[in-house]
Amino acid sequence: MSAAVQMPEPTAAGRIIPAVPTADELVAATQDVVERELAPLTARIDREGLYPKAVMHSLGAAGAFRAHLPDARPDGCHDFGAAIRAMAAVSHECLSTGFATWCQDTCAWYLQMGETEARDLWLEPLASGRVLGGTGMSNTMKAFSGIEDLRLTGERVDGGYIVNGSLPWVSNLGADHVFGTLFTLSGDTARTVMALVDCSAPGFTLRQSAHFVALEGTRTFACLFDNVFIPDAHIIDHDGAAFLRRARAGLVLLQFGMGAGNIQGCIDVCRGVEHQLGHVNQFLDDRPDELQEELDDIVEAVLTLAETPHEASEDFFREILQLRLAAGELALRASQSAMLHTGAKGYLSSAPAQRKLRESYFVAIVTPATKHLRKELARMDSEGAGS
Amino acid sequence: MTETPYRKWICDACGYIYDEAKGDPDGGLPPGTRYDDMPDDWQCPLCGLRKADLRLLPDAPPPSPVSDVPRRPTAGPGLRRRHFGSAEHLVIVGAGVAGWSVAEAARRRDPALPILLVTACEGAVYAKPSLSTALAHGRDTQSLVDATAGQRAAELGIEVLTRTRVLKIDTTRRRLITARGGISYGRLVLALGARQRRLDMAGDAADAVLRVNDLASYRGLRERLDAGPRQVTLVGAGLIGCELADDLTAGGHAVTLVDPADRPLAALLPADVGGALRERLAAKGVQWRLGSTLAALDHAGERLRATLADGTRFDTDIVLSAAGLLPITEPAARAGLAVQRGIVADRRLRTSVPGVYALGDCAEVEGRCFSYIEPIRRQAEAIAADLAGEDAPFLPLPPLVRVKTPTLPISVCHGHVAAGGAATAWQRIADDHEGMRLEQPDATGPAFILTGSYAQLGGELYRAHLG
Repeated sequence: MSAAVQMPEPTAAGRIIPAVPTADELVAATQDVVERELAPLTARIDREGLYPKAVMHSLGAAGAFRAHLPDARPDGCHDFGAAIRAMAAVSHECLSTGFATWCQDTCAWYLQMGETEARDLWLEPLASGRVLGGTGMSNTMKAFSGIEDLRLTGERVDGGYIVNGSLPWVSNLGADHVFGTLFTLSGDTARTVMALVDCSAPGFTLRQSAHFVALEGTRTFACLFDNVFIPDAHIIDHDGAAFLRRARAGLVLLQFGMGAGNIQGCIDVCRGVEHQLGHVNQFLDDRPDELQEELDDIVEAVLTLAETPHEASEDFFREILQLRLAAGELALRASQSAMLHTGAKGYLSSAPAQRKLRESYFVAIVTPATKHLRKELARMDSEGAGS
Repeated sequence: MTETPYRKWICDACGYIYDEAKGDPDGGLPPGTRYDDMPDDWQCPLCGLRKADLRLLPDAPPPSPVSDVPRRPTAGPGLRRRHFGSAEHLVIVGAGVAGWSVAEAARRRDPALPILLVTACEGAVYAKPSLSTALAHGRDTQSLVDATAGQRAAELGIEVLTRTRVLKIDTTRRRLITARGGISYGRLVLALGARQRRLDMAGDAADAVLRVNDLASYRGLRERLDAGPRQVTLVGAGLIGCELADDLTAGGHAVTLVDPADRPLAALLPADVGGALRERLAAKGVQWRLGSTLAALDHAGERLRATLADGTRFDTDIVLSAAGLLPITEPAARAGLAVQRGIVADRRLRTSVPGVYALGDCAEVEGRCFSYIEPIRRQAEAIAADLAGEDAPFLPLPPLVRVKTPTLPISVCHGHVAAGGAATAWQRIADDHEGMRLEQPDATGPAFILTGSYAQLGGELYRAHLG
């Protein structure tokens, strides 16, 4: 077993119970970290690919990764809405850090929804931000939609699984990080297992490759598995398909933190030049008030759905996907509008508008991407119409 | 000796193409490097994966793949979301009898009013009472549908949004929140309907209890019934339970009826009339389990095992809840509308929030919910009248209830209860081979119970009192 990551203490072993902040208090605490620690780094994160590790730990200390996790809260409740709003506050400033926050939130969500042993070991370290984590589920989500084949294979051995294969582009990783992913069983590809991978495990390699035009500061790597042993204590669920059905609503719901933050950031860029340019900007489409109305509609709908993240019905997931598609499309319109509203000033390499433009494509591209969503919704509509 | 042509390889993950002719000079592979000569630790310059993740690219480009999913515009034109409704719109939520009746009544009065009907279901127009008589009439579920939502909307000249659940009502912005986007309204009608009460029981098959209250759930039931004779357990011997019991028996299925009372329709009928219905249905083969409740339901192989509160156990194929309807009120309550049992509405069906109406199963007028077709249609007329500025409120008359059990048809009107009278003083006008006829001649409203062939007098007696 790896030695680089110290095995965390089980949550039961006398941890200090944090108070449960209200959603507004959490958002305020998050904004405080954003203003003091993140904002000075935003340009470097974007241009130099700086990974905001200290900011992530501070966000964790502020409670930004905990709100949606009943077993990491003294009241045993969840507040997905608060988690989404906190992530939006981060994404409003910097989508790289917003995405890292989503990775962290989602990795912890897997453990929340998984088996007891792994949860007891890893939930609190992830909820507190002491251990940072990612999610290698893009391939899985695409595989379950028939877009790709699953890329990891595991073989059952005494006390765990030996996993081989490779995953491209998993984010928020590092030698001392973990991430959740899913592999098929060799010899029985219909069966899948959901597991937490320790990046320091022997046989596991992180490899950086080409560079992206945005979201560079997210520690996005290829993950190579050469006979990586995953112990039973790190198995999140021995039935991966059933797990994904349970966890998928929460996974996509959390992404609205990225979308809402990016869109609101674009609207605020438009508003920021209104005093100076409103006389001419009024001739543009997608004025800030129109965008705001659409964003408010999406956010209100999302916060309502976020009250029941455990609901597993197809109709409920269809609603989440409809909104997810809308958020991706609105992000593209909002960032385009931010460019047009700010004009040449937004085209400067230091301008938030052009950064938000590049970031907004990520909202529309990250799995589930716009085309993926349209395919899935078309399938649901045709099945629903035929029933 | 002929040189093997250079081949191309594609990275499975990112689509990078390794062309042996060009090599990967940045990665240290000069042009002409064959796949076999690439080192195993070569890495894809785009995504970082390995030589093992490359696969041979066929010479001819593959034909453009055709998705097995039919393409359709799910998100409207391009990236722009459609805007739904307006400040001029009448928006109706719900596509049951109540919702469609309001659309019809409002359209009749005002051909120009923009109307949008929003529904979480598919919105098909069908006569709901026929769900409990379809088997005996040999009707399949398709034949129960009078029109699809799109057809009826086109006939009425209204817009319709199906499979769209209203997540939230924002009465301040006069806006409905849905997963498809916001919907503006000028005036709003809530026709949310009711749901079957969820039964509280133990057992690993508690979730297998069916609750049939709309076309989709009935379709699910019929798929199982049409596959062959089944043993069906109905929980609740009220109107729906008794009607379904008669219909299922006629359809060749074995039926067990469970109810805590000592007779069917205990809340509606006096003991002797309920007893007569019990005997007639028993003669048709219905098994009665009265004075008890379903305490647990467990899987037992392919079947289900029911355990009653008195300890009795029996195996069954299908368990249906017919334990009563609960008005759907949550979206209204969350929006701050006054809600008691149903959404509180006055005789104009106005709720406590200006511009918002409620009717049908989800609404209560003067403390009562009106769940039958006839009063719902009158409620719809009252809303349309109020929208048009007419003074024609809904009269909360006692409903005429027709128990559609062909084995023993029954018509009931409890005018005396509605008028606050005693429930016991029935006068026996007739009790013979034709059936029973009980009346309360002194009651201020219509008050009668008719069974057998007397049941067909119900409409006449009702009209005689209420014109």
